[in-house]
Order: sequence, then structure tokens, then C-alpha cells
Amino acid sequence: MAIKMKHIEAIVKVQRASGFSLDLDIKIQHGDITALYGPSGSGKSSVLRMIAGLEPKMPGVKVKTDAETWADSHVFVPTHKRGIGFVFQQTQLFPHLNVLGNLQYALQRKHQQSDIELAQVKQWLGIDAIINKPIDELSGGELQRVSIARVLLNSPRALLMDEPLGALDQRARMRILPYIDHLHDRLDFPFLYVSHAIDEVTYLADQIYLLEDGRIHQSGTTFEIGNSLEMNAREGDAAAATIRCSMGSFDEQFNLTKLNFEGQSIYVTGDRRVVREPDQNILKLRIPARDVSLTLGRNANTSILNILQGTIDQIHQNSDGTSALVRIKVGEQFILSRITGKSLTNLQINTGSDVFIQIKSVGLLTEYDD
Amino acid sequence: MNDGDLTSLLITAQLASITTIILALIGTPLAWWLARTSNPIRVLVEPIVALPIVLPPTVLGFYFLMAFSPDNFLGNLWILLTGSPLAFTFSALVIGSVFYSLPFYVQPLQVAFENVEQGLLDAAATLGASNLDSFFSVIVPLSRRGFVVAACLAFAHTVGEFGIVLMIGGNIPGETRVLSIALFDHVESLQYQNAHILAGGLMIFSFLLLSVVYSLNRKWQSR
Repeated sequence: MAIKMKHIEAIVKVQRASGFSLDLDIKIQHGDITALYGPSGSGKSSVLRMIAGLEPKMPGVKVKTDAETWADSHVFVPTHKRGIGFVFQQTQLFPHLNVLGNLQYALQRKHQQSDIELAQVKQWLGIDAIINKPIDELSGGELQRVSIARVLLNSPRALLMDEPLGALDQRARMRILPYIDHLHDRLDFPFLYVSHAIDEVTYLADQIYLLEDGRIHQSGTTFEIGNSLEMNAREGDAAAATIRCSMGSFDEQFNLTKLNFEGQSIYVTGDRRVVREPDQNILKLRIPARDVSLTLGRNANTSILNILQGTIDQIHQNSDGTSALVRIKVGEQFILSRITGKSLTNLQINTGSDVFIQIKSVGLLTEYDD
Repeated sequence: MNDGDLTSLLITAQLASITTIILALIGTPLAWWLARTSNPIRVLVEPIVALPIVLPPTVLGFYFLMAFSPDNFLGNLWILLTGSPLAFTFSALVIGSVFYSLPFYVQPLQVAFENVEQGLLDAAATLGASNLDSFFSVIVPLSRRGFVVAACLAFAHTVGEFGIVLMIGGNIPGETRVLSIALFDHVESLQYQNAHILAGGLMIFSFLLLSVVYSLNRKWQSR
């Protein structure tokens, strides 16, 4: 009976007296995670709340799905009839109910028929042990896992997340990211993820809309723009490339796991063959640009283990010329390197130059060093 | 306590109970509306609700007496509907009490409603709860302290009213003679023994009721 929602489209043209304005058109396709990325105050959350119907009806806001119109100049479907799931930054778990009570609240008000089960969701999100706890005894990470479980048990027809990890520390964030990624593998509906954290966005999203001052500044696949210089240049020390590797072998003697990356090898410490869900074979790595250096020839006399071969794809010098962000293409993927302006001059590299890439440290994206 | 006082006690209990129930029915939505609305008439409604706190009860009583007169709309309507006049009846007392105790019910509840975070209501809506559903499943449980305080204060305040009752109810034994009036009668006729029983009884009752309110306040404070 339930008809799958294929996409949601929001066309917003709003000009407020305060000077704040929104002028954008975004489309959220099923099967992908679409990220709305931008600095605070760029209007991300407002757009999300308009899609959910949480902002009062206003002219200039059109929201429709492939089959229904939720908002335009004549229509306004109230939130509870839109069938969407919404994960809030502040979780908004009901304080008068315990964990189980919150989950049952959602189960009793399912948006559509589904075979999703409490036992299954408890296991996915690892909340079995806290199921009878009152809400005020949960940690930040637990709260957010319960709130995600609550939304899933509600069987929404689309999923919206508003900075779900924004209130968590780095460690808790990195623990929850795989859970969200995991959902994406199992659930096939429009999924919009709003965040100002570039690592979350590049890790999770398939499509990225880069929002600035209420306008779409750039949009495209994560592959196209997640590793783009433009998006990373503004990130300073957080600039990093996200890459996907497949599992290789484990070297017991040196305690290293070899990963395959575009026909070359990357070594990470420890035995990574048993990886946490969601994905047993593909590992996402995040390589900070500041940990990557470039050489013109292969340097055999170095302690650096991970040396890759690639081709300069793009160079972005900062305004005073003291440093540059360089994008290097390796097979079909990209690595980013932050080098000084002097090094750039000394190396005399240009787009198309072949270089060796030395990577000082490699961390799994979902891991946090204590 | 003599038979007459016992009848007055029953009438008082009845009046306070019925008034509290009616207030729950009309005061609850009013408190909710005041807590959430951005409608500009709110600035008129709030002072009207609060008027009984500052006005001498006799002022309200006087206007009610006028309104209940068969010459006026309300009194006339009442005669058309029921066949008998409204003034100096138990029904008149109920109407007067509802208005007189309105702020004591509405204000604590309004504060309780205002303390329910909008975010929780947003969450309930996204989970598929209609406004009515989220009222009963989120707002009421989170405002239970407000409900208890509101009901206790409205009940106690109705028990304690005097001036308005005197104006619109008269002093009819078995119909409109409530405890506070009976006490007044005893004092007027120098029956201090009987007066002591009623005064002391009302004092203890009010003390106990307020103790309940404050202990619940404390108990639920941590939540």
C-alpha cells in the first residue's frame, strides 16, 4: 500500500525585513544522502524546517514531493501529515518518558506500514542496555542514538537531520557517524542531512549543496565538490580529503593493515580486518591536507610509510601567497596537500605534473585517537 | 456543627467542585491559548482574566447582579431557557465563581504550558502527533504540576469567596448559603462557638490543601 517517496523539492524565495533572505532550489532524491552544508547563519536549518512544515506558512515557500504538494501559495500540509522523520540537534526526547517510552511513542504513530521492529533497531543503534533508563541519565551520544532509533521506528517516508552531531564531542560524533551511514545502506528514501562540519558531510553525503547567505553557492556529488579546493580552502587546518579504500591484508610482524587504494597501497596501524559495521569491505579514510607533503622523486630514505604516486590536478594559493592547497589525482580519487608558498615555488609544480605524495598520518574516519 | 452548617458545608463543597470542573474545561484551553498565541488580542484577554485578583469582589458581584436581572440579556436568556430567574440561585453562584476563580486556575497553568519547550512539540508533530494528540501525550504529562496547583488554588479560592457570593447569591439556606456566609451570620448573631468551628475548619482545610500543593511542587521540582 505504502507508496515510496521518490524525491522532495524545495523552492524557496523569501526576503525578510531583517535583511535575511533565502533564494534556492534543492532536490532530495531517494537512495542518496543529500547534504546541505554551510556556515551557521547561512539558512540551512530554516530550509530544513520549511520542508518539515515547522516554520509557519509563508509566501515564497514551495515544497513538493513527486506525488504531493506540501506547501505553496494555496496549500499547507501540517507537519504531522507529511510523514517525515526529523532528527534534531537537541534530540528533543520526551523527558516524561524513558527510552522505551520514547520509542513506543514513535511506534504507536507510524507514518506508514512497515516491518521495522524494535529489536532490530535496538540492535542497530546499540541501545539495548539503556532501554529502561530515564532520559536525563543518558550521555550526549546515547541521547542522539535513541533519537535516531525513535525516528526509524516511526517509519518515516523521508528523513531530515538537523546538525544531529552538533552537540556532541568529537569522540561521540565519530561513534555515531557509522550508524547514520549504516541507515543509508538499508533505507531507501529521500534523506537530507544538514551540517556545518565538512568531515561529516564528505563522509556521509552523496550529493552536496553548499549554502552561503541563503543561496546555493555550489552543488554536485561529493566526489566532485567534497574534495574540491574551493570547499576545503575555507576550512584551514580542517581541510582534508576523504578517500575510499578496500581491505587488504594484515602484517602481524609490524602490526599493519594494508589497504588497497586505486591500485596502490596504504598502511594503517593495527588489525583493521575486523571493522565495525556498516561496511565490512570499504573503509573511508580522511587524510588531513596538513599531513600530506609532496616530492618530485621517490624518496627511499624516509621514515614515511605511505607514499603514493599521483598527478597535480589543481592548485589554490591563498591570497598572500604564503601557502597553497594542492589537489592531486590518484586514479579516480583525490588527495589534498597543504604546502607553503616557498615549497610551491621550489618544486615548480603545475597542473599535470607527476608527484609523489607522502602521507604522515592516516586515520580511519570513524576513529578518534585518545 | 449544626445541621444548617452541615448543609452549608455540602453546598460549599459542591460549588467548589463544580467550579473547578468547569474551569478545567474552559480554563485549560484558555491557558493554552494564552501560552502560545501571538494574536494581539492577548493583551486584552490577559488583564480581563486577571481582574478578579485586584477588584473588590463586590464590584464583580454588582455587575453580575445587574447581568442576572431579568431585564438584561443574560438574565432574560436564563428565564427563557429554564423558566426561572437566575439571581440568588446556586447556578448564579457557579457562574460568579468561575469568573472569580479564573485567574487562580489559568495563571499557574499558563506558566506550566509556557515552560513546555516548543522543540518537544515540533518533535511530536514530526512523529505524527496531531495538535490534540500532542496536547494529551506531551503537554499534559509535562504540565501535571501546573494542573494540580491550578485545580487546588481554584478549589480553595472558591471555598474562600465571600463578597461576590453575598452579592449574587443572597443568603438562602440550602441553596446559596456557603460556609463563609454562615460564618458571617454566626458572628453577626454573636454565636462565637459556631463561628470558631467554621473559621477553624476553613483554616485547617486551606492549610492542608496548600501543603499538598507545596509538597508536590518540591517533589516534582527535580524533574
